[in-house]
Amino acid sequence: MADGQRKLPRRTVVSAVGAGAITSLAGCQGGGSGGSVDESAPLISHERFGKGDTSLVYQTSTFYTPIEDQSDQPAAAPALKQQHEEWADNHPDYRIDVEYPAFGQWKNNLLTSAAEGNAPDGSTLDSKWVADFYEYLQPLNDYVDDIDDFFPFVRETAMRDGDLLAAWKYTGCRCLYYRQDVLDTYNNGDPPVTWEELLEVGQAIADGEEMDAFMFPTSSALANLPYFWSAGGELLDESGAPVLGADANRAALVDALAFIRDLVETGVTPQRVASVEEIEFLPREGRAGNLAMFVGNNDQIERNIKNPIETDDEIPDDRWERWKVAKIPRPADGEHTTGVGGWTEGTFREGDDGAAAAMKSFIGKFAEPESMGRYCEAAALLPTRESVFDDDELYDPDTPYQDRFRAFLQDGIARPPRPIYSTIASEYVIAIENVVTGQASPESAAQTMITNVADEYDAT
Amino acid sequence: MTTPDSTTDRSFARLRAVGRRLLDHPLPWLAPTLVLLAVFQLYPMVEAVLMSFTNESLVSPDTEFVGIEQYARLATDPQFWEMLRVTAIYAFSSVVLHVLLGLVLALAIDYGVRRGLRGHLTTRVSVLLAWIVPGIIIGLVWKVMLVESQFGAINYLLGLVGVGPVPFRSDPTLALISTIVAGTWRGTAFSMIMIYGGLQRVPQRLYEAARVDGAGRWNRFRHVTLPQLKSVLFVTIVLVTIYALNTFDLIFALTGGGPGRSTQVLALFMYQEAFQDNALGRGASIAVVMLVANLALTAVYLYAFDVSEEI
Repeated sequence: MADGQRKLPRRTVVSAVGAGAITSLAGCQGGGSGGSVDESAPLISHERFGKGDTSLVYQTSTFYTPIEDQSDQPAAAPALKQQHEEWADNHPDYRIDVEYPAFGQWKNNLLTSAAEGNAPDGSTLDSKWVADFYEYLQPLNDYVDDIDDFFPFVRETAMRDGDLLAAWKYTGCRCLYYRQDVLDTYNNGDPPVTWEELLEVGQAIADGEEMDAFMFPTSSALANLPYFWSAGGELLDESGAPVLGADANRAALVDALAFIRDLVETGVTPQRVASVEEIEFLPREGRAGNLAMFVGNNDQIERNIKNPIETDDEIPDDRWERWKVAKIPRPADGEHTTGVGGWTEGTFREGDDGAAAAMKSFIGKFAEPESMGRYCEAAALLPTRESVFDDDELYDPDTPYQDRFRAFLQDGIARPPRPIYSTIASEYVIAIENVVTGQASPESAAQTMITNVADEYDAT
Repeated sequence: MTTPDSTTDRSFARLRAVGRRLLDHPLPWLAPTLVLLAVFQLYPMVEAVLMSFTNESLVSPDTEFVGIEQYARLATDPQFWEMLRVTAIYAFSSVVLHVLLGLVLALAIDYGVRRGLRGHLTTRVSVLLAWIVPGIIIGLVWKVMLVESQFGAINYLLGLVGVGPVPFRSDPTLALISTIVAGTWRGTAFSMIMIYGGLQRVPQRLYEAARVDGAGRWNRFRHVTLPQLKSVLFVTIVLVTIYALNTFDLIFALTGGGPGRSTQVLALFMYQEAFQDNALGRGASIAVVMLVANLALTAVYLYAFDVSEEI
């Protein structure tokens, strides 16, 4: 009897779990968009923008959902909601059905579907993806006003043959973070401007303080390409072919790698920098008092320095103010540069008929000064239009050092808009790591990189 | 005279005979498995082989047949041979450590069970937990533990006794050792389960006979346990070799192949070629090389263990 009672619930539980799983799967499958939208439904939801009968498919990240509860960036959700409401009001016959692909496979799946002609009508795109989609993206010139207002790097990267192919909605830049109190002691309060100054001041700090003087994110090509660019190097020619092997570019590459080797050999930078992968690692070391200077992204002042210090009960709230930002050091005879990134929006819908126009209008709104200003202010990001910085009503964030970042953006260089860049980036990171760990000299690391990039370009 | 009833009966009888013959034949029983294998294993494998003779790319809809160009490119690429060396070191170390440690753990647990000692179940569960957790998580856990500052658990502990920080991930040699240790920490459980299962099948009377013959512990292990475990060890070594040669997730999360290319194994290279450089044809050629390596090593093991009659 007791056995019988025990057996029945087990069978029941197994059956119930099986039925539940099947029901859940069926539920997942049935989640697609239907025909018309219920009148009582909200105008904007996580999965749908607008209530029209004609569906347009759009892929994005949960980072950019307009619904606060669902957003990975809730502070910015209301700004996006307002933007999408404006679009939906102006396009009552259309609705955007939103898909949120898994991030890891997003780009590859999008590329495959674009190559097969099955791309969604629109999608959010990392600025470094744009080059891979050039042949599939549709021009936005008629839907984005005043293209000359964008910073130069936007026009250079997102435009092809006069066509604006992506609406670059925000950007970010790399800069030197430094501890003002430490540099007050070792360099009269001034941040190092040149490589030579950085090596000199760094050695003094390494000798005089129980902290590392300077670190940089080795795994980020964009954070380290300013060394190469400032030394006068160019990655690609006008046709998009790699030109690293040209004498001047080879020399710039060797100079940049030699500078990195010098940083490690003089003790300014510890070898453990080769294991730095997360950009949060360096500000964390800085907050712990282990690091005096580092190369980081502009948004880290808010996210990784100011906010953590202010929320830490054991550290005075104003302690973050001792962290300042400056331009990334350059060679004595070189120009300052910085790497810029950010995210864009693009459409794959051809033509200018009703649906295509509605989609292009939706994408174009991301680059309108009003929506860009609202979003960037809420998300503590940098606008890609100069005019947005000028208008306090559009953009007046509490985030520190915005004026400095704006100045840095004038020297911004985006990733070259060609598919070969992904190879250049990974080879550059490997070259840096090989030099830092002593596996290769700057000359041999540069030669290996040049050969591999050329081989890859020839093969593709 | 033939009546309609008797004709029908004969037809049914013939049908039943055919049905019986079919049921006695292995094909109907094997068919579902064969179909599934063909669809989910054989077809993708053939597709990968075919793809390796093309220049198929994720970014271009045009694909051309390029013959053995992808293989020629691999053969003349010095970095490929360096990665092959790293893969061989990783795989060889993994096989030795997984099987040896798995054997030791299995013997210890078997001993504990036979002696009725407490804690053998907890030990088995603890070791199994490492195996259950996905490799990508194991890689991240070890990455956090091996951070080269006071924020890393191991360097923090070493710091307490005045050692370090040890460059576990920024020194090329230590980085490779770290990946092998993390892989062993995860994979030993599998070997332990297999070998422990094999130990349960060893007849006790063999040990009793050996004792009667005056065999000591070592001789009983060498002349009874090991020969009895031969087929299990063969399967374990084959599976661990395949697992080690194809390891991707753990190394991807722990070192990403760096610093430089010091921990870049073939599986990681394949991923990079196929999904970072978008060159599916090149990625497929590396996959085919790995397949051939797996098959060749299995053939070597089959010959060395001489277990064809036992499996």
